[in-house]
Amino acid sequence: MRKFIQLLTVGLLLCFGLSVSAQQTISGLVTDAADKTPLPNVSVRVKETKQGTTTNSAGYFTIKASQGQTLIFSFVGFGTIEMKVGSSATMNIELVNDEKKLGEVVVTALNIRRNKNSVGYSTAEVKGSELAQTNRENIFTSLAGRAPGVTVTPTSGAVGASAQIVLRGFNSVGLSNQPLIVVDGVPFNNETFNQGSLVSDLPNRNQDYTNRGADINPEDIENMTILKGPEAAALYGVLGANGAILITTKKGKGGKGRITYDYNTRYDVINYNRMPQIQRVFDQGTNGILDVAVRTGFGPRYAPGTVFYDNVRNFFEVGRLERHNLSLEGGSDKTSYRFSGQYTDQKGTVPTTSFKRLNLRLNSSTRILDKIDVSSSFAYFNTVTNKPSRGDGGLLLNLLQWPVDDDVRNFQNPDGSKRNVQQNQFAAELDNPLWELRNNRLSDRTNRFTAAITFNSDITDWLNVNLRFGSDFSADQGNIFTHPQSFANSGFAGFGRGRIENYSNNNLLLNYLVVVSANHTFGKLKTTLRVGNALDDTRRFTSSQRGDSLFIPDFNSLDNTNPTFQRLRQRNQLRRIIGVFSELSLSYNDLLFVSLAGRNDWASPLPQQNRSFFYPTGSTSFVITNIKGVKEATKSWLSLFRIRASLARTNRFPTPYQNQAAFLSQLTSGGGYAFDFFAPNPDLKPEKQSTYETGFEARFLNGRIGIDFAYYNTVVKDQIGQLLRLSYGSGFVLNTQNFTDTRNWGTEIQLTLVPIRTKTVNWTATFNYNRMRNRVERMPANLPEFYVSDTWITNSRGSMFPGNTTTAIGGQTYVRNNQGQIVIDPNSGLPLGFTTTPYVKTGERLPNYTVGWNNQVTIKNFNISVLFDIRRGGDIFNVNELRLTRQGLSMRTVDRETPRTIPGVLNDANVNSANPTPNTISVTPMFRQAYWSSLPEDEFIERDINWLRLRDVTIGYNLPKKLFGKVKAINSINVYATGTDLFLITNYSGADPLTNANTPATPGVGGFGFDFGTVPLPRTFLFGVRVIF
Amino acid sequence: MKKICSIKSIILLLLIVVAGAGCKKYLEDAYLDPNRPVNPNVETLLAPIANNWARGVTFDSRFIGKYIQNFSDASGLNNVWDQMGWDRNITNGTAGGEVWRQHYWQVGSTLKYMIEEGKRTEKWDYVGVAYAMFAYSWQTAGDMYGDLIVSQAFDNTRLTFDFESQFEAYKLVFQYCDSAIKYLQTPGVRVRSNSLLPGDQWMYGGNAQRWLRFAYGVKARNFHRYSMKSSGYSADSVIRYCDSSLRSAADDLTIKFAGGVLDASSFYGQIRGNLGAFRQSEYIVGLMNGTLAPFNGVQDPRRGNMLWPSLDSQFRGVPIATNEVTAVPINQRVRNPFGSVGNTIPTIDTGRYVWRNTAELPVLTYAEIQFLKAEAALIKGDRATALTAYRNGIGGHFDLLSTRFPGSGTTDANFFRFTPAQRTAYLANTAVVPTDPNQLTLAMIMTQKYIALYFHGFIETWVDLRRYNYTAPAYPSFAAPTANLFADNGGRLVNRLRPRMQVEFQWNAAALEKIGGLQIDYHTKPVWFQIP
Repeated sequence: MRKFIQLLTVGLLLCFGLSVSAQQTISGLVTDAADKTPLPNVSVRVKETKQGTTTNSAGYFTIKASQGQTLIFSFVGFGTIEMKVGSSATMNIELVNDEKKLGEVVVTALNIRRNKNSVGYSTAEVKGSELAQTNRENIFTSLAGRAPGVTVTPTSGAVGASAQIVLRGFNSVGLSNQPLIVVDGVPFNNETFNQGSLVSDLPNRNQDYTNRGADINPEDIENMTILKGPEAAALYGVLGANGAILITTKKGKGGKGRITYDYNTRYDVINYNRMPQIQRVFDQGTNGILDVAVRTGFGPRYAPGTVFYDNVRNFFEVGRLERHNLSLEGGSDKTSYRFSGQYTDQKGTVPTTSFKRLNLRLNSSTRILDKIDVSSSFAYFNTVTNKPSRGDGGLLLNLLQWPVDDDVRNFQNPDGSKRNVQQNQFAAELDNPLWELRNNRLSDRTNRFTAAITFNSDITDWLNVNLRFGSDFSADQGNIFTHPQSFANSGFAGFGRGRIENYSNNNLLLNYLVVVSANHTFGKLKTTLRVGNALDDTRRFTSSQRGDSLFIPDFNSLDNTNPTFQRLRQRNQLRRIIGVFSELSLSYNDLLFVSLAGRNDWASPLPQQNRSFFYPTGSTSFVITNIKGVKEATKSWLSLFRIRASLARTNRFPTPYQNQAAFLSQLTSGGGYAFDFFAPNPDLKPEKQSTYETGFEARFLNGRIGIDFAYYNTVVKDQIGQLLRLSYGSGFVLNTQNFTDTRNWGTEIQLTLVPIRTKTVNWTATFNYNRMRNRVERMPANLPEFYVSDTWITNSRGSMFPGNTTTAIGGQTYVRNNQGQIVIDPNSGLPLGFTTTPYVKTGERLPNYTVGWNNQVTIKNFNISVLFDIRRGGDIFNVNELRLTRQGLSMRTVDRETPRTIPGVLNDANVNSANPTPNTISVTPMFRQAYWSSLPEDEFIERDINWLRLRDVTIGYNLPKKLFGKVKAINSINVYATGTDLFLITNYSGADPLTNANTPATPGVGGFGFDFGTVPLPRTFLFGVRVIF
Repeated sequence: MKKICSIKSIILLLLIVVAGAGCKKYLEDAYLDPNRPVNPNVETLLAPIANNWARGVTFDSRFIGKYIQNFSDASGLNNVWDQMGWDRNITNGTAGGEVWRQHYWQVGSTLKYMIEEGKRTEKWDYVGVAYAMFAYSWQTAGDMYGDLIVSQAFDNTRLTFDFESQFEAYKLVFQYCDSAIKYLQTPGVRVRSNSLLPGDQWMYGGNAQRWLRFAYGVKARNFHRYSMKSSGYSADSVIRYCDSSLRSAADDLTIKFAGGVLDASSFYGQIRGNLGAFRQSEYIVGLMNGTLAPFNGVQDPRRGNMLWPSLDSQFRGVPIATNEVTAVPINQRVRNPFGSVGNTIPTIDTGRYVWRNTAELPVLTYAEIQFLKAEAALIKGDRATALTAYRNGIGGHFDLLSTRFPGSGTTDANFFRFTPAQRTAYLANTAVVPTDPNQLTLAMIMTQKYIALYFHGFIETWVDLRRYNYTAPAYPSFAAPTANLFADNGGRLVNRLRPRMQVEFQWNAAALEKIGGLQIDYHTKPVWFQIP
């Protein structure tokens, strides 16, 4: 009650602006002694009156105190300073980072800053500047290799490509594994448009849509913290089930302020040597006979003197990117301000493709009513992408299958019409990729606006209230235009008709969060109690329209389509989550830290009785080097040794409405409704995920060697199978049920070495080791396999089998006898065919381990950053090679004139006996092209793929001041050069094993490890200059 | 102080209750699907059910039609289905499984909902129609597949579903027909007979009386399935139900199509283009040309409505399981259902009979009911009744053709149709309709029924052929494939289709195994009604 009255008094004081007389206003700036950067949130208290405040985001504070009183400045991770108030009204303080004593500060869930040593789970931090210097368009692609436990798979090297981000492996097999992205404490939409919302209901593999998280301007990022597991992200509740990435944006720095302008330009080049090679020995045809009406290269040898074209090289262009960055910042004792803008203009390596983005952001903060810090931010994003098609029927496969004795650049007849190479053979004809790019159009544009406001107030020195509101609105518009002369849609639109499909997809995220925290110290025990409430309201409005049969061949408007074939589809979604949470943190003598937290969520996608769920978490950290005796004994060589452990529970909910049996409007005579595919499940429960993590952190020799080790183990029970196939006896085609349990575990090691640390030279090398494992623990007996149908590519798919892994490839393989020998058809001498049902495991996509090797070197005015990436093991399905082999275009089909006998046994009465009949039938593939198509798909799964790649390298140089010293306005000039993906050493035969056949909109494991018709990452060379005024 | 506390706590409690209730509503408001209705009114359901119903049978008729030799496949020698086989290749795993899909999913689940929702909103006519259609759907599924998922069906909390004898489904048919009859006779239904119209535009046009007759017809079909059983068959019951059923060809239930776009067109029409490689069989042409027993020497005047002459105006058919003979002159080749020589699907609607985009698809006809009655009367020994019903059956079919398939809209010069005089002459021909009831044979009844159900009554014809083992005395000239029977058959003729392969064989294999469903000759296993 006494505290309540105190609180009331403080509140009244606040409200009426009453103040005690004889006081003066003291203001000042608190900076870090080491790098002179302003320190926000430093506690400033008057020792005598116990009144207090904190510095604002620019490091400024204002407080009322009388002369002779003492101000106490304290901040976690820094030494506390006491200063007597003198006659001066300003007081600038430098705080010393007491690393040995406390360790650094880390941003954790809900943007709570904690002493790093107190955290009972592993956190990874990446500096924004390190990510920004790679100058990739998608910031998350830059993240790969920079932190252990983070796996980023870009979908392709085309413009506007999306990135699949996975923290600590795939926990959910049927729902999204994408982490929560939080910018300055407010959730940031990272959705990738799902093609299932289109009228055409496409499988997320024939074109790409940027993951919206990539909209953020890399230059705005101060810092990224990766909360890898639910232990760390538990305070986010159900939204943090896949971990969270917290982005802190740059704030205006005080003083006289500054203007930064940065310009860079980049050249992107395809590595032709790695592109699939097309054979130039045999002409078009079948079984050795010339037939120019087919695309298969199974004809006779090319006539001597045939002119060949390097169509792949002739197709691609040098990509070009230009980027302008501008930022203005400044601040005073109460207010700070930062405005930034970035404009990116990119032309892809694929002709006609382009990507343009404008980013604007305004971050400001101010202190009002002496007590309340208000930070607000507004950001605007505008993106326009003209992108290539991908996958089956996409331009890369069409390019590779273009006849090598025909010039792909010759795509138009003199009259401007499309030039086909197979007259009147529409079934076999493929669009010329250059014609396709000019006539079929794939584009999308996004306008996005985010706004956030945060109130933070120390009501007393022990009580703090933090209140946040955020909104994020994005409006996407997309257009898919198929020219009437294109073959791309001939299967359904009909050749000569054309098709237009448009969509608009608007996302609105509204959030609110309040955290009240109180702390109290009992002797050596410091306690903090937090209580909070959060609300998340996410809406998506998607409508898609399609029309077929164009009146005017190249007029790109839905009004130009035949009304009879116009269709539309609406897929709106509303998801609401309410959460309450509490956390108690205990710290004993900087030695032992314990944190206990719980959150309860109520989420709308679940039926009422299963809507509420509670997650407890607990974590502890024990700093052994802070034990008195140990400290002294190890002082000379060990700076830090601590162990930590944590455990957490979390849940995951289904896609909204997925458990409801809804009716679908029908196109049949008279319209009306019939049941959609999905069975109702009014008792659907959330997925239950429980995790534990243990690890240690050690720093030796004054920080020259550091090691951070973590082991985690996650069990997900009652996983929700959406689109689960069962007998039609259920009355439905697809079911949504809690059907399986899986386990996902792994080891992460971060090793930091500082081989050189002198006054002029500093070299830090970091190794991020990541090993993930997973297993299906339970699956219903009748279910031999589970797969997400988006990943069904040719006749293989991302599958899981009981007792096996969740990252397997399922497919067809040879029919074998009981001794495992290939069974040969006695009539043809070729393998009997492939096993049909059920599918079997044919590959494992998960690598044994990956290592990111990150080097940061400074030599005088030079800064060098080099990131290598190593992968060991894991299979890649080379679908491109499969396609080329079956078409007789692959180099492997060149050896076709030599007769051969396939090792195996004949399919006769003895096939499963002790003495099966060996196959002696000789086959000459030249005259029996079925030899190539009789290779089952698992022959194209390349095993144990390793790589060493140079992800990026940057060299920067600060020009000596004397060069521009006469121009007073200029503060510094930095010139830099960056290269990305410059080399790749791998045993993989395709262009690049870092590929994904689906977009991140595909749930579950997705399509990583399927190399299928995507443009590989180019080598890029960038040059830039940065001027600070 | 204490008092204040209690007031405070009451206010606090109230706040919590109000906030709690608000939160509950806030979340519940976001729960229901805003895009697709979960509770549509029953009027919106009937047209899609009719279309999906039609889709199931027509889709699978491409396979059953080869078993019963309505047509054969010209695209290759020894087509699996022409050989009475069943394709084990998973890539063809939906073949013959469409009725399975429709019966359990789009039609079945929707009918189940329609019954529940109809009862809730007291739309008894819709409840009655739903029961009648559901009965027909169970009958069809049982006739096609034999063993079915019956008592565990539509329980979507299950993961596996056991198979039971089709007899269990037949019992349901009986029960559902009774329910249909009961609800269609509910007082008030007739008074507000227009209430059916909004939902029933594509079948009976809202005529509850005809639906009642349809329900009796399904019951007659169901009862007649017992004809080969050693006990339980009652010809009298069949005759009685037939008498309560359709009264003339005007009562024929057909499904109508709007045409224009693919989804709203008949599966047999040119827009759908499914029949390019199909050719009328030698068997149907032989029956109507008068070259095959039992109507040797009689040319059927209906063939001009139902079959395609070659360009030389002669009617020819393709022998089952053979390649199309391309060596013969163009004008002697058998045309496909769209009138093309070869497999071409024309770009305009050139078909005839049921092979048009908006052609009606018969579901149950007066002719069929009369042939059922004739067969039952013959079994009973009441030959006079049999003969009358037989004559009515043929007449009913002439009526069906002249009212629903008059053949307008074709520009083909070789097109012709029967004249009233031809009809009279045919019915007066004693080789077709004897005057002496004792000269009426089973073969006459079954063959006329075969003709009357040509290219729409696939299931009923297949049931008949199986009941009489594809042979005489019922089918004296039907030549089942023998030398070129499909290898998996082990020398036996086909007796059932397998449940949809891509589903039941993958996700319900253990249940299938229990009934021998995984054996390669499962499709030859006799079904319940064939076993005495």
